[in-house]
Amino acid sequence: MMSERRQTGLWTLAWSRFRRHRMALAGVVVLAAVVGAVAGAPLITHDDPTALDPDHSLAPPSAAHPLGTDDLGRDEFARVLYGGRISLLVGTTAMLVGTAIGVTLGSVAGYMGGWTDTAVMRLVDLVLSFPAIFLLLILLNWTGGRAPVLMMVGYLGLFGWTGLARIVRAEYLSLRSREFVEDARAAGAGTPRIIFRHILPNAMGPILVQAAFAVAGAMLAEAALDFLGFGLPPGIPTWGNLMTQAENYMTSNPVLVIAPGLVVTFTVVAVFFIGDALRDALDVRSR
Amino acid sequence: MTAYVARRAAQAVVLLVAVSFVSYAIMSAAPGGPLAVYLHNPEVTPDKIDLLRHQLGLDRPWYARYVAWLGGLAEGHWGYSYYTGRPVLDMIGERLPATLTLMAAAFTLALGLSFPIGLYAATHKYRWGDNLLSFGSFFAWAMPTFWFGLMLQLLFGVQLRLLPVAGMHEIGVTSAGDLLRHLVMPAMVLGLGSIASWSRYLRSSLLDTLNQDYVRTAHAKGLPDSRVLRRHVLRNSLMPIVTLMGLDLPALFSGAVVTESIFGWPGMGRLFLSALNNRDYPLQMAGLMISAALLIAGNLLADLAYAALDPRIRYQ
Repeated sequence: MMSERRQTGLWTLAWSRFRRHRMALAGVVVLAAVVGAVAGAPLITHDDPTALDPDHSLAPPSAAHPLGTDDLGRDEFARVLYGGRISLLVGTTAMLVGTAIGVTLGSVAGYMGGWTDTAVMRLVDLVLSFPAIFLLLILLNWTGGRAPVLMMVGYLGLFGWTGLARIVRAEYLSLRSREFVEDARAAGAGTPRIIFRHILPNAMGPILVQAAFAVAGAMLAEAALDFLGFGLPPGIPTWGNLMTQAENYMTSNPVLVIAPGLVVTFTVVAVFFIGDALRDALDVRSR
Repeated sequence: MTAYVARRAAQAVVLLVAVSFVSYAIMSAAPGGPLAVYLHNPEVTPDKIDLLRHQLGLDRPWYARYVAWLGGLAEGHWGYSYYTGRPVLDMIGERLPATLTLMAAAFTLALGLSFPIGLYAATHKYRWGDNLLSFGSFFAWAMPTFWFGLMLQLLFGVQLRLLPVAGMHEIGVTSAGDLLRHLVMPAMVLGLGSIASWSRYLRSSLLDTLNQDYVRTAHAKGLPDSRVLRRHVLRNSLMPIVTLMGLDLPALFSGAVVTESIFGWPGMGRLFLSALNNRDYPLQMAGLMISAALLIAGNLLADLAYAALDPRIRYQ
């Protein structure tokens, strides 16, 4: 009962601090609008993002096509909405993969110490010594320079866990000698239970903050890979692919490249503001 | 300190070899391999493919090729391109100057802009100018780099016709002014992230220093504000940001891959991309090794700088 009340207290306090950040509240509104529009795409537009209409290609914005049409006459507004599903999904799942790896390795290293810690930290050093883009491109070249969605998620996750592992390890180093951990150990809790049930909830602050920035980073990375021709297959309307394909029609129909870019930028800025406020609200030591 | 430097330098070399080994293994494990393009070409008989495979050494296992490649690299031989047959070192020599020019331009631009911005923000803390700048830096980080490049092309190249959209020179023109005109947009795109992070970092570093006792003392002595800022504040805020700048060099090299693709800049980044498409292993490894060396050397120098400042680190 006591611990239950203290839990609520912590999150209420965090919310009251979060609320003070007006830009972060605006970020929540923007992000909710983007996620809502993308998830409810069929309710907002009746256009099929893949329906071809060559007679009306490269049409400027109009009532029928709020953002015009692309070179094959496909409705750009529908493509931005449906494309957002893939982009947000890739960003979020890549974050989940990276977070799972980072939390597992970081917490085990920090709690166990000794050679486990040394081995994990050396691994982090090694991964950080790889020039990420170059190795990522070599990996993507395996499948001819284009990767299926799941593979892309895995690759981005593989490169996005090192920072989190370091942060989680540091948290565990300071938490492992606290009384509640001693209590749990004395009560006979096993090591995995102590690591994931007792300590993990106390390390959630930095993990959440890091996760927010990881979503943004993965989305930007995926878009950049699309542009280089090493992203998701061109048939999938991601935000990155939309901008890349619109490059050739920049002079004839600039809205095709402007619109998806603005959507990406505002989505990522919203995530940044939220992450920044979370850092303050959850009292994460900034370095 | 000498022992520490020697130990860290040795570690860096080991790390670089480890990176090259893993990368070589991943690259070689790719299905198809460099000869896949010829398999469906009726002009190329199986005999010719076997001959080519033997000539390129691809009939040997990958670890044997890796050992030979590493041995050659240790003696300064980067191998021959699978695709053009020319020495890799020659091909890099033609492309690296363009990338270095671009990186230097981006670095100079970032240096020139981030200091005034950081200084202004720190001395106008939480006023509207500072808030606007911090807002702007979030946008700078949030924009997809290539989209920012396309927007600059659209505005300055297509609409205003002020700057050339792509390339490094007009054909037949080699003047410095022409090069500068071609450099403006690529340097801006490549340098934007650094401008944002350096100026934010400088701002917080300056704010830390401004609260120090010796700054209050300097003011109390009656020194003019500008002198306090230059001699007491800026000088003590510089060390951390110099480290950050060093660590950003490999990021500029990586960023050049995207920037060069936007602006058709004839540098290493585009050479690497074409090496990927051609499955040109020696050339791919060259691009990867240069960026890995930059990355590891940058980390090493940052560590050494910290160790030079803080003797406790050396004995860990």
